[in-house]
Amino acid sequence: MTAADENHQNLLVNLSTARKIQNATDFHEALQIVVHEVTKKSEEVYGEAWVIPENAKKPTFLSSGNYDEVRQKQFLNNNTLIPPHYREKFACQVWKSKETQRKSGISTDSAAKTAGSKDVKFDKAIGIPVLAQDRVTAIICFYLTENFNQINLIRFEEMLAAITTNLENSFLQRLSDDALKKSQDKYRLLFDEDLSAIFIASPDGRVIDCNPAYIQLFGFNSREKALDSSFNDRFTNNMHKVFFWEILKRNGTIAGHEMSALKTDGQTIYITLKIVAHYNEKGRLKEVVGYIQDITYRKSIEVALRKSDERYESLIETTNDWIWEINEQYRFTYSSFKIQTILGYDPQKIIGRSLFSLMAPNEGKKVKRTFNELFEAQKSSVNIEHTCLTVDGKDVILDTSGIALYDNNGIFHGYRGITRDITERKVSEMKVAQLNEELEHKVIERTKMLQVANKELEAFSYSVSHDLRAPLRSIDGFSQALIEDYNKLLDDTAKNYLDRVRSAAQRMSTLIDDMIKLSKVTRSSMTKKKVNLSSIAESVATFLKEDEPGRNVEFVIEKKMTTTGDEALLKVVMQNLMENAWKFTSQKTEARIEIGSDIIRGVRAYYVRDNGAGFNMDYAKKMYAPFQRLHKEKEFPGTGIGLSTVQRIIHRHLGRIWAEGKVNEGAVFYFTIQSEMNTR
Amino acid sequence: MPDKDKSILLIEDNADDELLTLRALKKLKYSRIIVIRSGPEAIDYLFCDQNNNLSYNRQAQAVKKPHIVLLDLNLPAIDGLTILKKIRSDKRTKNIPVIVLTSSGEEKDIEESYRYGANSYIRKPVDFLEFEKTASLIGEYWLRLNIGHSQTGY
Repeated sequence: MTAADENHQNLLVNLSTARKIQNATDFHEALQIVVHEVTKKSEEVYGEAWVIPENAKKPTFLSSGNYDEVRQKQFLNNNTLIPPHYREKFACQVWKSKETQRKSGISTDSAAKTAGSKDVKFDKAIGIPVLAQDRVTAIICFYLTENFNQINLIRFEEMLAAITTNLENSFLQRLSDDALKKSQDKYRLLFDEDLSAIFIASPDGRVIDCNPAYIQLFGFNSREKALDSSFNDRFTNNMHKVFFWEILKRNGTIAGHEMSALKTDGQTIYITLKIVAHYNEKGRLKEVVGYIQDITYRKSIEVALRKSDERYESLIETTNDWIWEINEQYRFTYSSFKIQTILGYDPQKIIGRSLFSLMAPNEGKKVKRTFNELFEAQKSSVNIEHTCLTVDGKDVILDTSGIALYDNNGIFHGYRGITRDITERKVSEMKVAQLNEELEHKVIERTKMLQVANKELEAFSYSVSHDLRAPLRSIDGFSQALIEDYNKLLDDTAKNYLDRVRSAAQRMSTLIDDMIKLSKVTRSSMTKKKVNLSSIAESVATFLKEDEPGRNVEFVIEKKMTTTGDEALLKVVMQNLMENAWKFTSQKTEARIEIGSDIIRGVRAYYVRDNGAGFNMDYAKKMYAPFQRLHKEKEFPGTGIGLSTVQRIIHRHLGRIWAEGKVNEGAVFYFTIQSEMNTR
Repeated sequence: MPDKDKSILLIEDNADDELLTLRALKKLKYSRIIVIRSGPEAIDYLFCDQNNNLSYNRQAQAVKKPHIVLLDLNLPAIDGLTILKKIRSDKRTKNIPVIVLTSSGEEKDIEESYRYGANSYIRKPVDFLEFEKTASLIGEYWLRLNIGHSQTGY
């Protein structure tokens, strides 16, 4: 090997060693590398590294290196080449002197002589201190055989010096690295205790390290599981993932980035992410450190808040009510847009104005009093009706509900209110009230008129019953007197005429009595109660049979037939209908009168049916008018008042009366009593 | 005293009714009938008030306690019910039977008449034959059958 070659060789050793030293993870590894690199080239060299821990009394053996592994073992274990105490002494010497030490003639030195050192003779030694800030922190020693010549030795020394310098330079670096490690330990503690999730990932996303918060945040079962995972699996969106790495690879920063992330169970959470990226000397992304804040709760509150805000906003915008806030000086701090519709003011321009400036002065005082009461009496809310003036000065009637506002410290700072325009409602209420009043007035007036009319009618009917009868009595009485006193002077025709006069007078008297009855039916007060129609019918039947015992009439009366109404009036109904039936069957040899009830069109209808003279249905409607008769007086006597009395009574019971009949085949009269009355 | 001689006081303002009533009573042989045609006169007759100078005053004194009174209700100035009240509230007259004889069939009149102490309430029938029958029944009952307080008292 030429000298140039040797140089080149050394240079290469230096270069590769230097690189390796750079890449060593720590100082001890660097020392080992140096020893290893230097000794692996030649079997003529054995090297070892010693370190001096702080406050140590002597160097501590770290490692050794030799081309031949067997020989290396001999050094280390068998003490066959140079005894350890000798080597330690040499290292100590270097440590103490702080300078490179050389020794030669070791092979002849008795102290170094051992039994087994026959085949290889280590003759020279060179020890170099590795200095850091003027302190020997390590010593590297090399033992050279007799075969190592002088020229090589010089080169070797040069090479060692270069390596040592290199080592020292990187050691200085390492020293600070060491301090860093110490602080890193501190930080590790912080890291582990940090509530933020922190992770370190390689550029492919693999999680190299993470803290418990990270494990917990993403729901890993164990630290191992977390370290077995990729941060890429946390992305909810593939695009996100691509951009994430792209940004970091291009030296971009990710700080306070908000994103969604997947937990291990597939649940989505929201995080803010800050990434500190580390790059190697070539600028390649080496690793990333990520700091994660879980903002899911905040996000959910934000979402809820936004939703709630939106809800309130849309409520406030869509409601017809005006919503506002005033401060403790009654000045607006907020007004919804509705004020524009209600009072015509621009909601922006109203801010800072006093609430009472929108009111007439007296009204303002009144409303202020109410609000003060709310505050002083510590009521939770007030509700008042008041008026405000529109921009154009028109009165608007408003309904306002207000609450007092207190801050977190319980200090009063104003009111919030909701105001509704009730002008229209008020106006219509007033109209209704007015109409009601008018109506009531009218009712009173009408009632009075009715009462007067009733009184008049009463007086009229009294005088009718009284005063009309007196002349009739005279007509009848004096006709009779004539017949009696002038019997001899009167012929039969004259007597017959006088008889006619008398019967006309008597008939008129009956008519008057029936009319009075009819008018009483309409005017008398009604007392509603349960009425047994069957028993009324039975008693009427008995009366009729006793009155005319000669008649052969069969009565068929439904049992337990009841309704609700005025008993006296319903008695009149039954009497009239049954008397009619009795009367109109007078020419039948086998008369039959049925009293019963049927459900007709969903309503119970009571009926009185006979097989008597019947009537022509064409006149069915006529029967009910007073004094209307369908038969000749001679055939069937009567005033024609009975059915109209019955009809009035049924109408007073809100019922209906109708009849079916056929001439000579009988008639049936139906009546109903309104169901409403039945349930009472 | 024979029944037919017992005095009847007829208080009636309607002349026709008066005539017809008298006719019926006379047919039945009742002769002592005093007719009074208005409320004040009736009061005057019965109670003979001072400061009263009506022409029949003197005559009235002698017969002022009739055996029965036939009283119409509808009278001018003072109505029948007021007269009835007065009759019943005066110890001299309170025991005289009073028969209300009227055109009215009003429930109200009937009720009030009895309330004020009428002994009987009869509605005048239009049919004169009926009326005669009624008058005879009145006489039969009140003057013959009924033992009145007045018979012993006056």
